Amino acid sequence: MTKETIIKELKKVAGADKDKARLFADVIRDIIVEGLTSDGIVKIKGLGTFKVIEVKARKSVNVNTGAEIEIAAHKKVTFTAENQLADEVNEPFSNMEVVNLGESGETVKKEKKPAEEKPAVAEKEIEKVPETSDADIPKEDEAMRRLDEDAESLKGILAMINGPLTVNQENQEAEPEQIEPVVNSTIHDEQEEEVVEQKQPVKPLALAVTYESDEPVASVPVVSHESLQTVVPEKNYESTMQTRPQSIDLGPAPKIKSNYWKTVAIIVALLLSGGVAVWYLFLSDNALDFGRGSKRITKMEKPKMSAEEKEKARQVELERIKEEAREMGNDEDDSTYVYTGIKKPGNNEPLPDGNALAVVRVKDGDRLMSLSKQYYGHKMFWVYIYEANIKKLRSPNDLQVGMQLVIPRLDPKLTDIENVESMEKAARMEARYLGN
Amino acid sequence: MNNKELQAKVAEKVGVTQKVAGEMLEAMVKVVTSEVKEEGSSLFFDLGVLEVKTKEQRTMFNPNTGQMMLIPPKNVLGFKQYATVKNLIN
Repeated sequence: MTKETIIKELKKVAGADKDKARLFADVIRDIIVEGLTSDGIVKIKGLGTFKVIEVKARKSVNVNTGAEIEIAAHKKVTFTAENQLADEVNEPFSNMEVVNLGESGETVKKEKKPAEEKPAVAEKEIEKVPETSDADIPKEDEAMRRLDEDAESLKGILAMINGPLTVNQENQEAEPEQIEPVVNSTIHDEQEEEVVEQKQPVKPLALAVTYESDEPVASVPVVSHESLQTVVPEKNYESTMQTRPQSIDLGPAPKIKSNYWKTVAIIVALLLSGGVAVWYLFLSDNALDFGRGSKRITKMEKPKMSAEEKEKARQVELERIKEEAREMGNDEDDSTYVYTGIKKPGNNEPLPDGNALAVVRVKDGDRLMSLSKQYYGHKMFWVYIYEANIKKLRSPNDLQVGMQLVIPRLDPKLTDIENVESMEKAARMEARYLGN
Repeated sequence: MNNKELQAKVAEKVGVTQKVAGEMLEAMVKVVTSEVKEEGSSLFFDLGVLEVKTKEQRTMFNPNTGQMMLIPPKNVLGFKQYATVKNLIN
């Protein structure tokens, strides 16, 4: 604002001619300064309050010389806008609210390095193990062998399905990972330990590779543990314990060498493998997916029902969200894009194709926010991941190790950190999911 | 100094009635607010600059409830005084 603009504006006011207007522009500053010096405060209606505050002396550094200097105590003028003006200025962010992120701040701090694709070698090595051991011990579960055969056949079917749609190498390599059942975290850990210990003396190469990939395959190596454990000499067993990398967290059980614990471990492992087999054959959601057109269909009736119910619930949710988006009147297309992308009927686990950026396996310490940060560059977009996996997650904190999560491919507009609207949208969704 | 006193002072110095002085002040406020809203800043005579600043969003920790809160970004109207004013009031 220059004097000219204010003079121009003042001329419109009745009773204020050009000279008066100019005079006003000249004196108003002096009047305000006078008010500030005498009262220390000047209130202007419609604008706000100018106030003089004391500033304490403080130390500072001369940026040129690096010498320490002291800034003497002085007064300064501050300004507080009137509520109405403040609201008008804050217009762009006016619809944003404080969001409760839940207990403690560890979710924000934790961050994991990006999950890397498994090297092809690792896949092969791991797959070989059960075959050889199967030959050695025909006594081992029939179910387990069938499981492997099924996995093979399913892979074939899948390749046929995916074949025409430009399957890339990675897709196929990632396959066994998806077939294998997702085990609840504690079980998973235990199996992991056993697998690691027992395999080491027999196949050091395979083990090294598994470490590299850092993603132990639960269903596969379980087969061999009984026989191998008897083969392993005591000393070897101990030495492997020492060379083990620290990143794998071991329970106290294997450290006790007594036979009692060994037998207990064997029994537990057997129970687990049996459970996994049963789960895989009868209850697995994955089986439903990949079993299309195969002999499994009769067994699938029960899960299918529940899947339909879930689908219904999702439809309702979808409707609600669409409506909301319409109300907001912005980015409607984007939101529908997200949902339709994930909601493929009859396909519970979308493959990493056009709709999914990736399928991640949850590791210890992973959070939706850390995944979001990793894939979209900002933690605020975790809601989209949550949305894409809402079937599996009862709540945003329901992540379990070994779980497979789909990272949806989002419109870049939606995940633009610079864009205020996209951030607001994410914040709104976040508020809804957190129940605020 | 509240708005009324300001009005009286203006009336006295400019030589108009208080009513006209009030209208003048209103006109001035209108110019300033519209400038702030449209351009984000306004030179407030020779006193300083009224400026819209954007505060980044931040997380806040409530030690009593142990909860993390996400504070959204906010636009705030701030004022930066000129050095001349600093000298005048000190």
